[in-house]
Amino acid sequence: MKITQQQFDRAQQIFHKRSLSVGQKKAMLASVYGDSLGISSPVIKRAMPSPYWSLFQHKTLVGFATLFVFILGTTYASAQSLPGDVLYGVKVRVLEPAVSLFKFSSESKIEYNRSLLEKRAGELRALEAEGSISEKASLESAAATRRIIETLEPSDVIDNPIVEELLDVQIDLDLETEAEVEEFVPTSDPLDIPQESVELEAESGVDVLGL
Amino acid sequence: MEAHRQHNELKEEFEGLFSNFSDVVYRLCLYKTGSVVKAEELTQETFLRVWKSMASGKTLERPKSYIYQIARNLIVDYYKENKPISLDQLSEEGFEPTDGSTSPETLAEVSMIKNGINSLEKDYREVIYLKFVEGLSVKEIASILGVSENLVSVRINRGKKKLDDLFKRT
Repeated sequence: MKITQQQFDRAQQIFHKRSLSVGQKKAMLASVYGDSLGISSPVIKRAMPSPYWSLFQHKTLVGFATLFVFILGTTYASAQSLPGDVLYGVKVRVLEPAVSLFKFSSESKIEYNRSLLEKRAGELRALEAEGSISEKASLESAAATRRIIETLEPSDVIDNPIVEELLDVQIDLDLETEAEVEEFVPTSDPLDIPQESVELEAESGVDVLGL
Repeated sequence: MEAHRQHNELKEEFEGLFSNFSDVVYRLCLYKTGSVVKAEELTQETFLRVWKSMASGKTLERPKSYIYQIARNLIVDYYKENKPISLDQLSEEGFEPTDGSTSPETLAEVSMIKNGINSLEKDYREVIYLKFVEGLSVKEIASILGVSENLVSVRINRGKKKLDDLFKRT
C-alpha cells in the first residue's frame, strides 16, 4: 500500500501521542512491585475482546446514529407542521407538552402556553392564506386550542385577543360545517308514514310501524 | 532504618524511570506487535526486569538504552514464541497485528507508519522510527543502539532522503 507524506506525518503525530493512562501506569507499578515480591497480581490483564464485539459495537453505533437522525428529522418536520398534517399530532401532543415539562415556574408555564395560543392562531392564518381550512384541520386545531385554554387561568382567556381570534375562526368554521351538514339533511319529514305501511296494517291488523 | 531509606530512594529512582520511559516502551511494543494488550504486557515485563535489576543492586549507567534493550529482547522473545520466522526478520521488520484487541484507528496509524518505514533498508528503519516517531535526539539514539552519534546522523539523513523520495513517487 502506497502512502503520502501527509498520511505518514499525520499517523506519526497521532501515534506519538499514544500513551498509557494514569490508571494503567499505577496498576502496572503495583503489579511490578507485587511480582517482584512473588505476589501474583495480574492487574493490567484485560479480557481479550471478541472480534464480534467490535462489529456489534459498530452496528450499534450506526443504529443509534440512524435513530437519532430519524428522531431529529421527525421533530423538525413536526415542528413545522400545520393542522391536518400527519405530524401535527406529534407536535401538539408530544413536542409541546415535552417542552412544557422544562418550564418550572408557573409564570413561565403560562407564558409558554400563551405563546402556544399565538402559534395556533398563526397556524390558522397560514392555512387561511393557503386557501381553505379542512374540517379535519379545524377539529385538530380546536382540540389543541382547548387543551391549552384548559391550562390557563380564566383571566388569561377572557378578553384575550388571540383567544377571541381563534374562537372567531373556529365559530366561523363550525357554522360553515353546520351549513354543509344541513345541505345533506333528507327533505322528507321523518313523521311521514309510508302509504304502503298503512295499507298493510289495515289489511293484516298488525302494528307494522310498532306504534 | 537505613535499609528502609535506601529502598525508598531506589523506588523513587525506579518510578522516575518508569514515568519517563514507560510511554516510549509502550509505543515501541505497540508498533512492533500491533496489539494493545501485548504492548501493555511487554511494557510491564520490561519494567519488572528493570526493577529486579535495580533491587538486586545493579547500577544502571545508561538506563534509557538498558530499558530499550530489554524491551527489544522481549519483543523478539514474544515473536519467537508466536511466529515461526527468522530472528533477522523479527529484529528488523514490522509485524502484523495478531489479535482483535486493538482499535481500527490504532491499527491504521501503526500500518501507515510501518508502510513508510518498512520501505526503507533495514539500517535506517529503527533510526528513523526513534527519530521521527519517538522524537529522540541523535545522542539518545546512539546510546540506545550502541553505535556512534556520527553513524546515527548519517543514517537519519539518508533515511529521511529515502522517505522523501518515496513520498515524491507516490
